[in-house]
Amino acid sequence: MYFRNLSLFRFSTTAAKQIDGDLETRLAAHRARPCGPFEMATRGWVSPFGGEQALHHGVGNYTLLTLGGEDKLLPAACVNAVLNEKLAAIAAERGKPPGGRERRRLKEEVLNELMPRALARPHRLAGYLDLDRGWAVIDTASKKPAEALLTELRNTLETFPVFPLDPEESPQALYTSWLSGGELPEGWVLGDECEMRDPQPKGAIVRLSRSDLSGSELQEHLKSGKQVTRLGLVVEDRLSFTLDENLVVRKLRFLEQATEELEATERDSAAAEFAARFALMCLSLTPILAQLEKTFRLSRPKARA
Amino acid sequence: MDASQQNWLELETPTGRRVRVLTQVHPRAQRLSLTMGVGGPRVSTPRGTHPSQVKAFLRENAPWLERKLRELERAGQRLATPTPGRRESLLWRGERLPVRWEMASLPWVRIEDDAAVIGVQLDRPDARQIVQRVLRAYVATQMKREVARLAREFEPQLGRGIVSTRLLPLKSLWGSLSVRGRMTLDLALMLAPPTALEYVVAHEMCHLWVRNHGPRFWQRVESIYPDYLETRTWLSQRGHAVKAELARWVGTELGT
Repeated sequence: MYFRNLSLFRFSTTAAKQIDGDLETRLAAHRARPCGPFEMATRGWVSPFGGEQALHHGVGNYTLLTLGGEDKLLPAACVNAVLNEKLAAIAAERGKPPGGRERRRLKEEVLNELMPRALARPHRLAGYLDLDRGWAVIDTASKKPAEALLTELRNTLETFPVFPLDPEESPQALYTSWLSGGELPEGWVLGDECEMRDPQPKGAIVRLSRSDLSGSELQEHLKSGKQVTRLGLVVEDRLSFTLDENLVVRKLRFLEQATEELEATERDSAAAEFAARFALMCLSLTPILAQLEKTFRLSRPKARA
Repeated sequence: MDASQQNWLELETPTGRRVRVLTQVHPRAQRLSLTMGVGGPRVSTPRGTHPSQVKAFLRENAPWLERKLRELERAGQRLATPTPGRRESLLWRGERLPVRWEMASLPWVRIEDDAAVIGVQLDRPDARQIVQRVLRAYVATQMKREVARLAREFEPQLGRGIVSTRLLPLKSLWGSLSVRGRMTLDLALMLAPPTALEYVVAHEMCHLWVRNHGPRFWQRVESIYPDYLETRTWLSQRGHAVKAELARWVGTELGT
């Protein structure tokens, strides 16, 4: 259940108070359901444990939520193929192709005909809230699904102001200084991956992976004024990840040292195993998020009356 | 604009001065036009204009161009792209600082009280481009801190805060605010006197309350930044020189 990518957002103490004892009832009112015959997609909450269990899981100040739903698979090429057949038949019958308005109407007709037969792909996306420190952590590297989860949360709670990160210290400048020999935060070391860009519009991009980041070829790029926009890091031999210019965490991996304590103990059920993994993940990520907050000077939104 | 449609021409003015002019094919241009913009003199031509026509047009307008260049020079505006190692100056927060070049393998920029110090490997053929890259990154880093400080200052007075900031060279605007509360600012504001950045941040943050430029909006601007009229006038009268100075140092290509 470990998250692979992290999209990070912040919320204030006022917003945190909205997550209260009532949460389960509110989530239940927005439970995920399958797509209807004429629906392209649905979104709602599912149990993080799977099945019909509770819709959220709380450990201390951490609350885990899972957004579920379905997306209909209806490729544009399939719709166009059926539409073109119909258009050709009409053109042959009348001796001229149908006009724009009729084409649109026919397309609607084709969509209505195909949609009930389309396959539905299940969608799942997990995220957790750290109520104490005001972090919303979502298991995706792309903006759109992350925002979809927050929109659903906002709909569920009526209002829930969440803000994207706005670092005071430029991540690019810091990554570049780290790679040029500057001091990294305590316990952090360089990983084996980086991306460098010429900051000018349409400038050159260099990507290195599985490479030694202290090599001379890399220094050559830094000498030419390129800025580091993505950097692989390892934290205290427990975690490895890549940070990008928007502070999205990618390729997050819990290294052996972090997971071996967990493997050593036996648990009775899958749910207990899941809960233990979630607790371990939150506790491992909390110091990392605190370090990000300190290094890039990320402030928590102020509470408003 | 497609780079393949751009070309540089060298023109000799009546007094023997040589000026480089950018010629650019513009798909909607009806006639030839010569303008003095952020990146220096530029000729826009309609599609299919013969090069000899462009040259004749430039020869005809050379006296105007020379007059314009002299006017800008008198106003203290520099036009030539800086060459590393040569005597140069950089406009920084409203003050013209002499540039001190230092030899450094990894490029860096530092602003001191009485000079702008730029470290670069001076003998590299691409030293000029390196300076552009490193200066752009430096301006953005410094501006990010300054904007965060100003936003923190205005937020309690306004009761609303911006969601995030984006800093890049802008062609004609100084800043804008998206419906989601994301503020975009021109990097050139860091070269203008500090009041310019203060005013633009205050202006954009007031849009969090009033989305237009009506009397209610200006009242709000005045409530948090009383001297706004003075700075607004400065920006409209002298702002183009600041934008030109940024373009001179970080290149004429705008946006990201």
